[in-house]
Amino acid sequence: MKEEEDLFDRAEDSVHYKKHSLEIDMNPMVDLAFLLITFFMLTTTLSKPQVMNLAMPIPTEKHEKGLEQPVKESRVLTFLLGDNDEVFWYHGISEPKIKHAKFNSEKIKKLLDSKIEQANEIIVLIKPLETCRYENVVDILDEMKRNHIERYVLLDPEPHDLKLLENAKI
Amino acid sequence: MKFGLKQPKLDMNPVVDVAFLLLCFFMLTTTIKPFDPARVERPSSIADHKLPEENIFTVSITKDGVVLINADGTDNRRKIIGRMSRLYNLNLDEKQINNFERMTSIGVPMQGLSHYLSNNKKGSNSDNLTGIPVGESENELEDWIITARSINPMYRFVINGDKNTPYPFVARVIRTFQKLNIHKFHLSIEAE
Repeated sequence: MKEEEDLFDRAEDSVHYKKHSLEIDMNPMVDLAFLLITFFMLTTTLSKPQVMNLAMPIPTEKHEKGLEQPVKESRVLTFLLGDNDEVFWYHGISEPKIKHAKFNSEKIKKLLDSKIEQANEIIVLIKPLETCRYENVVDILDEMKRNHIERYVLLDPEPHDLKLLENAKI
Repeated sequence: MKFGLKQPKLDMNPVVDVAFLLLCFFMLTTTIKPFDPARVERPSSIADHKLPEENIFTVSITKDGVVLINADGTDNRRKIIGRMSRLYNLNLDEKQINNFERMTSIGVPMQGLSHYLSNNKKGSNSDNLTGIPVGESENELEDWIITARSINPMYRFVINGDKNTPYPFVARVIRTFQKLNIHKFHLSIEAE
């Protein structure tokens, strides 16, 4: 009887042993799988391109014939973008007082706010100079969006702008 | 007695199943970006528009002012290069056209295009490319855009400029757009 029990025990033991050998440690596999998941997740989200929409003015027949409604000078604000992140600006058209500063988001916000107080629905003209970097153009377009300016336009500087700049530098 | 001695063990098999399922999903959804010779560091911006998935015509401008173009859709690309090759009498062979179809951005003038397409080296980048002429007198970008639009009128135009590009290079591309009555376009940016 005792022998039988022993045998039975041994049989159970051997079964148990066999079961044990089949178990594989899955932890490293899980580690690897999640590492790869993280990699693919990061690469998918990063490759989504984002864009800014830009609309240029469309030359119309009215414009060519000079029939367009003139706007009040007080509503117009002009930005000139120069080298080394320098920004020049002036109000109005006929008696401009040009000022300049380094590109600074807060300063531009203050400037736009004070301008909006004076006249609602201001019109901003953005004129990047030859020496300006593309980044500054994108930055100032950002400021337009940030300050909810509805009417702004990207233009080439005109001769009178360049003259103004030269006078300001002297 | 035996139970007490045993360490608590978690069955990892379902975790592995889930992990590999997710892995398969992400692997299938990622599109591997082909090598692009346009090396551009985009300016950061608060704009948050997503670029549409299809019908994109990209004009890249590197910091040295090299202009490269890229149109999507292999079928469109094949038709564009066919028409351009006829326009400039390049007589490209089948192999060169296949090369163009597979490539991404192109930044060589039409004169050198045949040579560029016949020995397409993978490692070449915008550093040694001359770019597509966009000057006042010689503007090949104009021809590319006219051709692309005649084949696919749905193309939307994107300027992919480097943040350190001097503005005149960008202005020349914008002027070309305006000349062709493209008044609405996108600027490729890096989200802040």
